Amino acid sequence: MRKKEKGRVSPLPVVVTVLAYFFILLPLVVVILASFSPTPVLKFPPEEISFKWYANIFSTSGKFVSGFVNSIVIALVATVIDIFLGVTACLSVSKYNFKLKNVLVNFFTSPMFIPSITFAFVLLQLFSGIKGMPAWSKILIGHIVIILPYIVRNTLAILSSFDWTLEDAAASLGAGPVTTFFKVTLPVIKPGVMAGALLAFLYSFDEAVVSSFLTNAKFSTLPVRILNYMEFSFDPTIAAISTILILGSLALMLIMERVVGLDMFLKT
Amino acid sequence: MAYLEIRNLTKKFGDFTAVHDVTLDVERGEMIALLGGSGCGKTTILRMIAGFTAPFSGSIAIDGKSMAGIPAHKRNVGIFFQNYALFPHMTVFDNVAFSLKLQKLPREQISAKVNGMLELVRLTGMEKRFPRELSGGQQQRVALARALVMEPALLLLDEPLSNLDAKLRVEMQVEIKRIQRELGVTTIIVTHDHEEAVSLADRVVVMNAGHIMQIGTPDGVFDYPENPYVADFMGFTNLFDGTVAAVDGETVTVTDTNGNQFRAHDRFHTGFAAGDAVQLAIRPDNILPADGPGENVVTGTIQNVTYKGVVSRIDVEGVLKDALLHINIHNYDSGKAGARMDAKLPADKLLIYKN
Amino acid sequence: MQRKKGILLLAAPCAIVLLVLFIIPMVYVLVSTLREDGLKYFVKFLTDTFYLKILWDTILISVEATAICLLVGYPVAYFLARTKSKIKNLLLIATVFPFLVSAVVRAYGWMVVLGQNGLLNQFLQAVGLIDKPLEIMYTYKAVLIGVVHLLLPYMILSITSVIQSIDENIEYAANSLGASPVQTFLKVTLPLSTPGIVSGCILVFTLSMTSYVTPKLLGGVKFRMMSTMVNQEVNVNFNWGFASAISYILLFCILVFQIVATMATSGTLKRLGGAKNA
Repeated sequence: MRKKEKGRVSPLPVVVTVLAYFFILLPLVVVILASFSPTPVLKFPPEEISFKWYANIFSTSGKFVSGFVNSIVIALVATVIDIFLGVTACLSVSKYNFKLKNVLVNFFTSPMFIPSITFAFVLLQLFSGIKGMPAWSKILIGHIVIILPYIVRNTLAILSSFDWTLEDAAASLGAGPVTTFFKVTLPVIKPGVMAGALLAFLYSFDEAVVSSFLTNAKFSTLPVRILNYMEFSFDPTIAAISTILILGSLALMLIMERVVGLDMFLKT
Repeated sequence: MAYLEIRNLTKKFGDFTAVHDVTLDVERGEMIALLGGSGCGKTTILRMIAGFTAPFSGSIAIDGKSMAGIPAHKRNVGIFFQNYALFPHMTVFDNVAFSLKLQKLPREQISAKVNGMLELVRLTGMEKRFPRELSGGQQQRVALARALVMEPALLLLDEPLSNLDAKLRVEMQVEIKRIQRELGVTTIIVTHDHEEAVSLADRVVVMNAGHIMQIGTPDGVFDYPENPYVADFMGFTNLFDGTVAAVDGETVTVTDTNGNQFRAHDRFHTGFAAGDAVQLAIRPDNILPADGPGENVVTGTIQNVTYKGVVSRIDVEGVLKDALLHINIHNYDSGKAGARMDAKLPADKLLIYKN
Repeated sequence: MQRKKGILLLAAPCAIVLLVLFIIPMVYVLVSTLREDGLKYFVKFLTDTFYLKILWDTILISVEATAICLLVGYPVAYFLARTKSKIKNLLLIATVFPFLVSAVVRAYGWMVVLGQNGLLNQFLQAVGLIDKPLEIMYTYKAVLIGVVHLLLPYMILSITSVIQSIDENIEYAANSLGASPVQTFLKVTLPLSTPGIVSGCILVFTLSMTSYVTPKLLGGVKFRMMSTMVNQEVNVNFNWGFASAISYILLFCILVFQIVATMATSGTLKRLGGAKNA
């Protein structure tokens, strides 16, 4: 083994880095500790471990389980729809250069540039004029719009390094445009699309602004249920749910690192 | 009627004419090279034959069938791409089998054809590898196999050797020629490298700025370029001006701008008259060292000797006006910079063009 | 040409969806607000110091959050981009994964830490630094901490990606030409990383201006930002006309900021070769 090469990094960044990660991870660790606290108020150091708040997730009036299912369904449907919208849109602007290309790209990512609260209010106002629209459809519409940029950006990034002669090659071998897309283009750009889809899915799953404005008593997503629960109770049931969400994100994160690598987060 | 007929082919990009009224016949089984620098239009012609881009005017017909309006995927034209364009998500086998699967051939037939083709390009045993796991030379063979397995009506090779190191180039040259002979497929090579063109092709088409400059056999084009452009492109680095002093049948006597007298042969039957402004061209390899004065012998001072392995390149000063005379000589050891040197420009190797 | 036009048709589904579900509603609601109430609520907002203070607080907290994120995030990013140790991937995971955790959960974590009986107060009382619990929750400070925590990863990732793409040989070259490590950093690395700083700052400032969950949970009704004001007007005061005005004022501020920021920095970024894909 060769001697470990020392990065030429001076002590200042190292110290700041240590403190920064302490700060970043502190509340998450605290939430996990609180979820095992036997008392409603977290005592440190904890005297014993209790799982009662986890049991509480299923027994309280918080309707967390149905909220979780709703969140998953909304996120899944919105993501699938946006994969279609995003990938077709990206293909249209990637292969050739033309004058309005940048305008179109900015248009496709425009939901990113506006405050979610503004869009949430706009949808609330708009839908209030339409009778009989179920809450799930309102939330779904909101999410389809706000998560689209994540898929567009990641798909554009991978398409920018796509070798378009592969399409010519496929055509020369007898593949028509549709076959070429499904057999060559799509498989090659899949990692980028999937990365974007995963981010979009998580964004939708975690989203609380648009959802909380468009929700009703019958249909709500998990983040909104948590927010509502906190209005009247502050017990560690929230910590228990949060712990599950934190560990879930961590697991997804590790899978992502294995499957596509973390480099996609290092593309601006 | 020729197998591939290109008639008055023209392509414009906006105001720019990339291909200008090109007419070309290619016989069945022939291997032809389109040779020229970047922007000469050779790649555009290739793309029009392949169907990736439509001509502005003119026509292309393969085996008597007009290609107008036929999309790329229905032309049965195999293409070898400069960057190979192998499908990165498919194994070697799947890359080669791609066209056969689209034709919905039975599985056994596909694997028989693919294996046969992999054997032909000497890649047996590599079926399960992915392109990124192959060397450049191996990737190239896969690309070739993939284009050939569908038994294309026409094979197009885009700069087939440009991405390889010197040793592999020679190897692949031989290989491509062998495979092409074996299958008898009509082939068009696009290249900017004249050695690649003359070593591979049966006929060479030299292009410049969208025009065909010369069509000929490899040795014809290589040894006897018909105009100064082709001469320059083919490595006639000694290119200089002169005036016809006298004409005797096909023998032309020329005085160059520095006052040297040369005899040259009117090989292309141009027909010269005394007083014509002409250009003379000779390849450095065709100039011979001489002992003392004689016909077509000039004298100068060696400015520089560069050892280049097989040959030494000698730059001689004082022969041409405002330019050095370049000479390539095998096993040269007699002269050093500063020495005088006599050199003979043989009349049969000295080409003459009307200005 | 035909192919080019054909391929543009692929943009249609996305363009139609965005037009119908996004652009048209955004414009429609603005127009209908103006038609019903005119500029009444806009004037109300812009002439009442109480509301202007909220806008000012929102901007101030965003500026401070951006500054803190930059000061903390830059060294971290530099470390991440240049370290050769294996810990890099671990830190990258630690940066990215909180970013995938809902803002609700992250704000909740700070509520547990900063609350009256929270960990911080327990700790400070235990070591005897304070007698009475500190009042941090539902203040400017609590929201600032929450927003910095929420957005620090964005800053780190923006800057890391740019520093990582700077050829290390450029730094070695500066060293070999006699620049000390500090000089090398100030004269070479820092200027070359401006694209990351710029994009990180624009991102953090924008997201801070528009954050909703964090000020809602950590600021409560005592400390308000623009977004929580919208909620207040919609769900408590039922004054939708005013909520609409606040929403669009916030949107307007964001758009003006982004346009100005892009124009102000595009010159510098272009001269850096438009490089570093920022």
